[in-house]
Amino acid sequence: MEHLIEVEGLYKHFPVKTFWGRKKGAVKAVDGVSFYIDKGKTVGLVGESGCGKSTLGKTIIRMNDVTAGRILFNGEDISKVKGRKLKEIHSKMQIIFQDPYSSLDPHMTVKDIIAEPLRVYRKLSEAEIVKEVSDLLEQVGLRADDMKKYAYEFSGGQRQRIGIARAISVKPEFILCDEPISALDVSIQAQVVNLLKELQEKYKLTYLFVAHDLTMVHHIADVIAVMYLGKIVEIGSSDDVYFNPKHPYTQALMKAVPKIEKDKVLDLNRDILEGDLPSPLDTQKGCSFCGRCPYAEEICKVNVPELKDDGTGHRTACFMHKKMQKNEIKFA
Amino acid sequence: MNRWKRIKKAFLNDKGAIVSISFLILLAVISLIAPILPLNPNKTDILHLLEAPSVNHWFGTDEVGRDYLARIIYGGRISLVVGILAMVMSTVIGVSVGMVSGFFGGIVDSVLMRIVDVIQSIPWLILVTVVGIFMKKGLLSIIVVIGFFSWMEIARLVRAEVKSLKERDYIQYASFAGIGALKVICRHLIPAVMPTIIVAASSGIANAIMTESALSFLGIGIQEPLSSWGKLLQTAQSNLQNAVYMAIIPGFLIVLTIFAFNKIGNLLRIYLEPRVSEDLA
Amino acid sequence: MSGLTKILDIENLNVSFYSDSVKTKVVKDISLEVYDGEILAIVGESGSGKSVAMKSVMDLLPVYAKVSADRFLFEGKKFLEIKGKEKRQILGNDIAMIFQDPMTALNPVKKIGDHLIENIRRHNKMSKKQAESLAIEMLERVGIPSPEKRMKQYPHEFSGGMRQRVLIAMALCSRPRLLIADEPTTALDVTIQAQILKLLKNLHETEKMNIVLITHDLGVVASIADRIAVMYGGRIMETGTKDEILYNAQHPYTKALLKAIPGTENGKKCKLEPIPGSVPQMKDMESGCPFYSRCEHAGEACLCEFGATHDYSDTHKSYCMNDLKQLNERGA
Repeated sequence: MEHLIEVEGLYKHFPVKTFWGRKKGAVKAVDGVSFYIDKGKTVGLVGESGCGKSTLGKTIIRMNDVTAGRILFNGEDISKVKGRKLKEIHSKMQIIFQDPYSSLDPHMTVKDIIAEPLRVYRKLSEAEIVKEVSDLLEQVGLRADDMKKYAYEFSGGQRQRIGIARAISVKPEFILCDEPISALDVSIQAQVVNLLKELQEKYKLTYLFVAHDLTMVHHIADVIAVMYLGKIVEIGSSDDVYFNPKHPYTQALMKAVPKIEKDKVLDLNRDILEGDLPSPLDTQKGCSFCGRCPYAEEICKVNVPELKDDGTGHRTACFMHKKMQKNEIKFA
Repeated sequence: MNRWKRIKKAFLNDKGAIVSISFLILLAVISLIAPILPLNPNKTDILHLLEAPSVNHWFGTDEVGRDYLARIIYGGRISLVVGILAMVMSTVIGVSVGMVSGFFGGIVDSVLMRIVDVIQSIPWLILVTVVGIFMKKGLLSIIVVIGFFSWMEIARLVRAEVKSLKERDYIQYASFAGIGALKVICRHLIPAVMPTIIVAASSGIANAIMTESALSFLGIGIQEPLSSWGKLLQTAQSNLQNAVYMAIIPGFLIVLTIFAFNKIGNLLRIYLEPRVSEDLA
Repeated sequence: MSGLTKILDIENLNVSFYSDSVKTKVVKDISLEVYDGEILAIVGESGSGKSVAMKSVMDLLPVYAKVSADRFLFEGKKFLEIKGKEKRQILGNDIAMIFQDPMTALNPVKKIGDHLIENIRRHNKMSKKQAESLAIEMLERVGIPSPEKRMKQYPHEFSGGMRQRVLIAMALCSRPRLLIADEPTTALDVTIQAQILKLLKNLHETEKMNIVLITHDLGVVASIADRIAVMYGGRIMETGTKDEILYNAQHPYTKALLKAIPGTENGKKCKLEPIPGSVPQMKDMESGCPFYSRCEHAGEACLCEFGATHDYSDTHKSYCMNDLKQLNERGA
């Protein structure tokens, strides 16, 4: 399978300055991430807030500058491109935002919102734009004459559809879906997910689907990557990670998801991971999860674990994983 | 559009706003048609000096026998012209500086904002007086002086708003989609800061009229034979004992005009805030 | 259930908002009871009126809201008729509420300890010293590590989960009979959400505190609630015990909602079946069933009239104009 995107040792640090403007440290939002996304597939990126998942996504599509590392898009390194070339790359990589309210200009009509990237990338006459926009609106399940309305006349789910229409208007190859359903009602989430899937099949789109809702990610993604404090701690096929999580953090995350199925309901007496996410400002040695990990041993506090393949493509960054498998440590 | 309907309704429900708007419209109409009215502000009549209001001279006459109604109307023209042009100038400078400062940030922002700090730290009256003395006296220089020293507040307001708007997803998306800075500013940022601009502008007119009155009152503003309300107020000083109306009429008009502009500005501020969504009403 | 005492007993509660002399009914004829010793969950999407209904208990509605009910009893007292000091007494001591965003309920320039001490002394006559030690005890009880140190910190030094714990501690100060929790975990990450749910459940058991949990997340409900009321468009669509609602739902809305959530069957992903359309605006539906426009079984009758009652057990009721028995047999 051909990789559309390959990320190699990607770092994105945000400098933190003192009052006098001197550099005090850095928030290591993305701290050495390597993975790839196959053409036409969906990678789901999950983790808690503050783990750097959104920053990683936005760095890959070059909404942010890269601190270090390489991003290969169709085999070409785009980590340092600028100007016209970057503009060209952005027409192939689009984004759908989390907040359907702040992502659409309240002063613009739907037509102008959707036509915004169109006008930049494709030289079209006004009549062609109207035709294109009405076509796009119908594709995302809205009516063509909605184009005259303003964004505030739509509900959250419909606004998200407008955002999707804008993203696909320039016929991108890759779309970063940055928590596109987190702000929506339960009954609307499924609509948007199904729409995204439909469009993926139709246009052979590749998605990076950032979310914190594991069940939804499992539903839409082919591969799931779990992030913790700027690093990917586990990555593997969707079913492997969901049904057979290996990293203790993924296990905890998986257990903490409140489920409805009778035999899987969250048991509040057992399935609880204690502690809080540490601040990304604190530098600590060793595995970033060792402070909360029930299995942590001496080695975890000293060395940083690397992602290791178990032979099936399911990779985990944990020293204790072998021991856990041999049942030397009992699961909670 | 819905928002304008709401504003219309809000204005019609507010008696103060109705009075303010009617007053300003009346003022504007009279100022516009003044030349075709049978009034001459410069015709002296030494037989009728300092005459109290009567049927012939509704507002009385001044110390050289000129019709005070005509003086007031022509003075009002000057006051309004100064107010509006000075406001336009300060708004243009203020919005441009604030926009550039907020949008580009970094060094540009620091430099521009320090300039604003410096100008703002000098008491404006001293500043305007000093500059007013050095500049050629005349209507234009008054406008330029007032306009040039009153844009800082608008610049600050616009900068603060642009800075927060820049974090919105739709602005970030516009930059991401390869839209140039100028286009982002014109298409997304200007419409978004429009309420702020309109409000600042309406109180800007009031402030400029007030500043001009103060300057004229101090004798460094409008020069004879032109007059403005402030200038009239200054002349009235020497005749306060025998012609109180000469001070009361222009004083009252200045207060009313400033009140009207501020009232409208305030109402607009409340109702111009953009609605993000239908159900947040 | 009928043998138990009712803490809260509401019949035909109506809440209307008046703006510009237009009346919008936000909550329509809902009847609810909270029995002693249970956790009741009110489930609904945004705009379903679930929050408004409970805020009417707390007297927290804006001035343009009008509340009326055929019966509104709190521990046997006619609640709507109580006014002034007596009401404040009850609201301060016997009922407490916590919210989705704890930051809005905390004063950012006041130390956490001062928040608690002030709250304790409002309800109990005791010295500052006593109040302080009680405050530390409270923080300890809600699971905040090193409470002495934490007392001196400001709200911004706390994480979202920790802030929610502080709010719960504040609510506990007066030992309320009823705690209304309005989406207490919605803004939190799943692992932190699980911690807070565990805390609520523990407090429910140890402090004999009755809880009304307002949420949109059926998974959360599954892990903590005893009884569920499903709300939509200002009306209660179905009530029942947890098992009756989650595993034996009868109402078309509840069933549709359950199908719109990604689940797994026998270890396989199943297809998402979204509910078509979007959540209707309150002003668009006066009489009739609010689910009318999205319901696949909707008929003439549903447009003009709401809900004939169907009883399935002592606890399980649903409100629908259709002959649900026939409908569900056909569907099954």
